Amino acid sequence: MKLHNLGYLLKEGMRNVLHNKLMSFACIGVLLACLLLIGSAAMFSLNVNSMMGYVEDQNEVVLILHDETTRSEIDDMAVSLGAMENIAAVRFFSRDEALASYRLKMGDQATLLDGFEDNNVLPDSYVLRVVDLSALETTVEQLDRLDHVEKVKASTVVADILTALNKTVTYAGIGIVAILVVVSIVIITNTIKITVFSRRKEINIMKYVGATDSFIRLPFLVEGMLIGLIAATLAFFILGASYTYLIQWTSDQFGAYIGIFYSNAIEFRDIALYVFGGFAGLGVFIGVMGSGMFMSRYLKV
Amino acid sequence: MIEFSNVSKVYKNGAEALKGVSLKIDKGEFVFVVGSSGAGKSTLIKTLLREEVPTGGTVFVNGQNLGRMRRRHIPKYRRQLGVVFQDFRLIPSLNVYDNVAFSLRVTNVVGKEIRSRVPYVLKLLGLADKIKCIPDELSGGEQQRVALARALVNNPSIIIADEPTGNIDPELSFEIVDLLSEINEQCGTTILMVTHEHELVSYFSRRVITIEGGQIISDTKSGAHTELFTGDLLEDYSRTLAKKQKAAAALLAEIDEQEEQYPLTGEVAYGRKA
Repeated sequence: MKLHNLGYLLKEGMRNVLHNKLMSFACIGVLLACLLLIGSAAMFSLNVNSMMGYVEDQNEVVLILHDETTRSEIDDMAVSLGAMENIAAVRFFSRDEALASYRLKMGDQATLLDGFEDNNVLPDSYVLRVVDLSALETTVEQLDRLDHVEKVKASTVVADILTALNKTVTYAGIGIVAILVVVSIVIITNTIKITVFSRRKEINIMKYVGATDSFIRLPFLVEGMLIGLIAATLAFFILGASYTYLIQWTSDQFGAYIGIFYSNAIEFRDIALYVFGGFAGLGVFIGVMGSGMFMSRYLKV
Repeated sequence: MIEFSNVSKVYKNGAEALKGVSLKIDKGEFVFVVGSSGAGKSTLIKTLLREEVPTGGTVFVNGQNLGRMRRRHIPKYRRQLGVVFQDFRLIPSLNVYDNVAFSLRVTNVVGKEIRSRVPYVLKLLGLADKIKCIPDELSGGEQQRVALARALVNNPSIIIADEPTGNIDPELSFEIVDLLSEINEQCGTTILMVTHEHELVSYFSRRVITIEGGQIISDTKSGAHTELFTGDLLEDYSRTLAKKQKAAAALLAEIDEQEEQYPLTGEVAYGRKA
């Protein structure tokens, strides 16, 4: 394919899109719905992940040790804990530190704790931070099985909810999107079929005057690509606008209650480039698949 | 130039279209191919265009074996040919200029060359003042001249004309064949014209190949038919033919009108509609 034909091919592709306005509209519509759903699911997932990160930072697992654990055993534990997979940070929290922090909490009544210095009943403990909150339960089980551990304290509720939510959204999203991708491809294929049919005379002439197969096909690929790009652009702006609006609205309404959410929400402009790239890539991919995959059957060139 | 050796073609449905056809057409020849419907003329042309591959024998065109030609080489091969059809096959939405330029645009010819060649060919065929017309605004004869211009514009070594006068008034038929004849003489282009009209064949005394039942039954140099139709007889024959064709045209117009009211679906097998 030579460069001076590029203009001709692009023009033909555009002409195809304009020629079958209704079908092009249907194609763009379905593809748009498909991209918007993918985009929404992705935005949701990103936000949940960002919140998970926040919660992970906050969430500490406390490992309470048996009283009779010796100093050297405690040091050994630090090494083995550090080697565990899901542990991000390990901090030893001695009974003295525990008492000090208690004192701090008691404030004015700290004097009540006088006398405990020599007879500290508080246990030594390790404070851990996990890497992946969704694997918290397994980690807790592992920690429970370690020697010298009396008790593992971790709040798994938030993690459970967030993980479950993320999973549901991901799976439902994948299911719906898979169906929509298939529908988009079918509709685009059909549109191309109609274009081919309405232009069969031209295609026939092209064959007789010696146009190459690829030359005859390319305008249809361009048509699919254009449909994909138009849908991607629309999806990008719609998603961007509605997402920004939604975040703003949520913070206005519930800002006080879920400040965490707002402070951890992802700004659309931070990821706009990726979103557009993803949309354009997927839109063009679906468009080209739709126009290219079954085309030889209709073109017989 | 064109050489058929013992070519046979059996279609998948069992129809035997060609039975051991052998013929040789030299460079610069002008050949009429005549025969009744279903005689195998169309298959002959389809074989030449490499639309169909013979089931037996070999076809050589310009030294290329069509039976062995790879699919991806077909477009390049077809660029050596110019094709004219009975139903013109012009693109209705494009004007005369674009219709002719179309065949160059889709075959990787650069714009500069298109801009110089198209007007030249159109002028050659006397269409210079019709450049902006769309096919529907032209007469049948003019439309066929546009089709001829399209076939000529890429400077083919062979022109294949499949009943080019079939849809044109008899008076204009002569004009078209005249043009083909001139092209043949001026440019040395080999011309193979399929026709029903014996009258034309007789008038332009050229080589005539007659096909019947998939076989060549006669191959005469410089139209032996001339003797059959001379003088008054020729005139008489022409008049009768003209009358019959006019009647046929009226009938077609009537059918067209009915078709507009009761549109038919599906393809026209051997289209008369442009």
